Amino acid sequence: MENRDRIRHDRSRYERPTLGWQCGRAAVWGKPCSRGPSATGVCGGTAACLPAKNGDVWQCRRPPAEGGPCASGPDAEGHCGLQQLPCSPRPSLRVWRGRLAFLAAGLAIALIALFASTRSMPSLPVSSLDPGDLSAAHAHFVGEAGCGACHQAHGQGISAWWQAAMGKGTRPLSTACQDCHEFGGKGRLAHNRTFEARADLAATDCLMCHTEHKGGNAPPSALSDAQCQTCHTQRIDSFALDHPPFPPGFPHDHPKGVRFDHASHLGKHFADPRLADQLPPGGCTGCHQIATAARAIQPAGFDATCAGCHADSITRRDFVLFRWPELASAGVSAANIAKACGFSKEKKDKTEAALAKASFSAISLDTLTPLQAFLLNALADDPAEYGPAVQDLAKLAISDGADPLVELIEDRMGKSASSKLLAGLNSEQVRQAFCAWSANEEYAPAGTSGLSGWKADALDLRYARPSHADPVLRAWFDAVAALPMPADPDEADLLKEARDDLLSPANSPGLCTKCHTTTDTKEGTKQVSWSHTLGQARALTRFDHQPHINLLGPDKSCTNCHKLATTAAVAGGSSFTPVAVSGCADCHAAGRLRDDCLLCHAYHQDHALKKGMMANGN
Amino acid sequence: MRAVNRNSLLVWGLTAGAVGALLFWRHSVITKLGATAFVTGYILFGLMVFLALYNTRKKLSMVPLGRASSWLTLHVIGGLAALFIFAAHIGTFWPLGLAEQVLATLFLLVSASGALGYYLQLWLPGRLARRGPEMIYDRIPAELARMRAEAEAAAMAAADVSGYDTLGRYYVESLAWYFARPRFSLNHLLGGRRPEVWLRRRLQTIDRLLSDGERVHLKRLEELGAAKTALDAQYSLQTLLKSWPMVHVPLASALLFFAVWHLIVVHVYAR
Repeated sequence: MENRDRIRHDRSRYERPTLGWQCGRAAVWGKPCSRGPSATGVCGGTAACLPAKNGDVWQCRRPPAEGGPCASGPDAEGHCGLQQLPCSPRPSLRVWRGRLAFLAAGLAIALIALFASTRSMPSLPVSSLDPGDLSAAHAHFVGEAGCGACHQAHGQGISAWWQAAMGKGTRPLSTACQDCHEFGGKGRLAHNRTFEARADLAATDCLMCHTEHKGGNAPPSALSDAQCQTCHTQRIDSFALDHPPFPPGFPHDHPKGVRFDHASHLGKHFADPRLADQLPPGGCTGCHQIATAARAIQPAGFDATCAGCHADSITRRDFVLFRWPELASAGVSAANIAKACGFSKEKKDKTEAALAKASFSAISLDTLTPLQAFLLNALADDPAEYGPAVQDLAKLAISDGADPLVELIEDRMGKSASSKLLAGLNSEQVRQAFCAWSANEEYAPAGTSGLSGWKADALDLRYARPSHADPVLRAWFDAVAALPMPADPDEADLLKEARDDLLSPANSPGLCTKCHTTTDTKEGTKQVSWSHTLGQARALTRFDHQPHINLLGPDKSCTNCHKLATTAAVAGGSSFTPVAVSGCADCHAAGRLRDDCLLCHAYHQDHALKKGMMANGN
Repeated sequence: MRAVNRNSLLVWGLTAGAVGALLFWRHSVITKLGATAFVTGYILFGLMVFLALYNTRKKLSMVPLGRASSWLTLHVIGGLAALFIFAAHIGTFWPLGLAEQVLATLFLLVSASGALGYYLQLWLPGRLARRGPEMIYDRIPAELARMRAEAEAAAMAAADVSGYDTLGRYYVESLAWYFARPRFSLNHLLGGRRPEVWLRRRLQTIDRLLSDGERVHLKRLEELGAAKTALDAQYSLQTLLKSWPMVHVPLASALLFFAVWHLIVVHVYAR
């Protein structure tokens, strides 16, 4: 083996790897010189040693490891006598590593700077700002605004970036969400509702659940059951075992737009053999359209379901707008009536006789209808009060036809209402009817008509033979229901009576409100529900009938959950027994079908896109 | 080199506890719909800066900043902890944005090169010790030059003994290639014996043509050849040991700058 003494510290050169340069001769596997390159990479080995002056004599300082003092020695001027060609020192691995590190850092900065300038070089296919693709929905809607649609500082320069980074001057991202999204309540409140303050919970924010730039197919949100339980303190580890009972009457306790008693229809009427040929075939699916089943299963229209039995009862209920009431005396002179109405001499004489004070006998014994009383602003059962108002109306109507009636309705119900409310009203027929009534006679129209529409007949001005979903009748229901309650208590009473009479389920014209329910509005008015399904009772709950029908089949799927009540006293007034958690948990349980919170519950209520956003062409 | 001693075990334990606490905190905050990315991101960034300081520490050997071996232990433990924090920070298997993909790629490459380097540092010193006299890497060229000079001198001396230049010419035609520079580097890395075989064949080929006097010098050449083979092994293994930072450090440098950019971007865009 080699002699290890050669590399003793006093017999071999002292290596300085941190200097960063190595002798060029060593780099090509030659013998490195003892002096080596300087720290800056300059060859130091053109002379074998650096002579030192001892008194007047220059002495050789070649190290022992290099052979000790040479024979030639330094010259008189102190130059080494063993000169050699200089080498080209090479950087050490350490230097190369440093250079590569600087190069990598420089390359990183260059790439970041180059690909961050997407505004000036829009043709660049990549960007160092690229956070990943937007979801498909958002990618479609941001349009030309691009990143700036949500990120206010994008493309606005260094100062805007600084402001954004410091959280000043720019709006939070969650605010931008609400440029397009709106909800049933406040956007950033939990479930868009105001709950009692919980000191243990942080304020909610869109970004808590919604994160973007996860790709075109990735949903921008994902909520776990555990996250629901951040606020919901009742521990639910299993739907089947832990979910609270459904409310009484669930799910039939939601507000209904159309009143329908399943128990009496299925248990009584449908069982009557005399009605067999008038019933919709197919049981539940005879009325309910399972092909379009969603949360609700809408019934087919009136014509396909109810008309078989109930069409006639609608047409039999006319709407009386004006009924000539009992009067104490004639309000218009016979001469004026004859002149305005073009009576013959003979009829004029007859009218004078009929209206003579001594022999006056009112043709009508009726009082005002509640609607009339409201329109005329007079008590319905006091001829002394309503008489002048009726007579004033008659004075105008015998010359101007329907115009004074229109003015009266516009005065009481709003200017825009009359065109729909009186659509199709024949002004001449109104004039003629008032001529007859003013002459203390019943009005006999020239011909009889079985068609629906406005008609004056005997002592009434009526809207006859209404059909289902008649637009004039609906306009009257909507207009009267929507009238705000007057401040004057007497006037308010009149409106209330008129409204109660018109909307009465038992007596309403066309029997509309026998089936169509009315609801109270926040403004203190009422609203008639013309559609079958009202707003969802539980905005945070969702259910889809379709997969259940697909799984169970149309024959069993309805009655599997919706069991007809045998007693009338079912909570919520439903015809069905409530659905219990156990009914759902038969299938939705661990190891069977999904039973997580989000299967049935939504976080937001009534989410929609703002109209303004859609109008912008997005 | 092994970082396993009582102190390092303590550091391992503390780090594992800290990372575990961080992951538990993250889970509980996410469960409560809270945001953790900024906290985990800043911790990860701070840790990366600390890991990068190890290189600075090596350059400041004159400053009393603790033992290098302690720093290495912290560097290794911190690097492993960074992997867990990185996973907690990105929260997914692979980010989708190009900028974040570059960042993640760099992080994983730095981690992988670091892990490889740590493995080499555990594995190669034992091999270096077994493969022959250990030699300072920077002295290898001078040692090689010395061996070459001695080998040439031995070949020349054989001519003086016999009056023939048989060994001298054979040296120039065959053995000079071997002594010119380190050879069979890959074979040394793989732990092969090809250099010894190559050298033995060359020496046996000429042995039968030499006189007894020349064989003395051939014997010297054989000794020098064996020493050169050991030196080559040292060179090869030490080169590998010194080369992996050539990947690790530049990548870490780029990673830090991309991380700073990421930090700026999320502050501007993600709030």
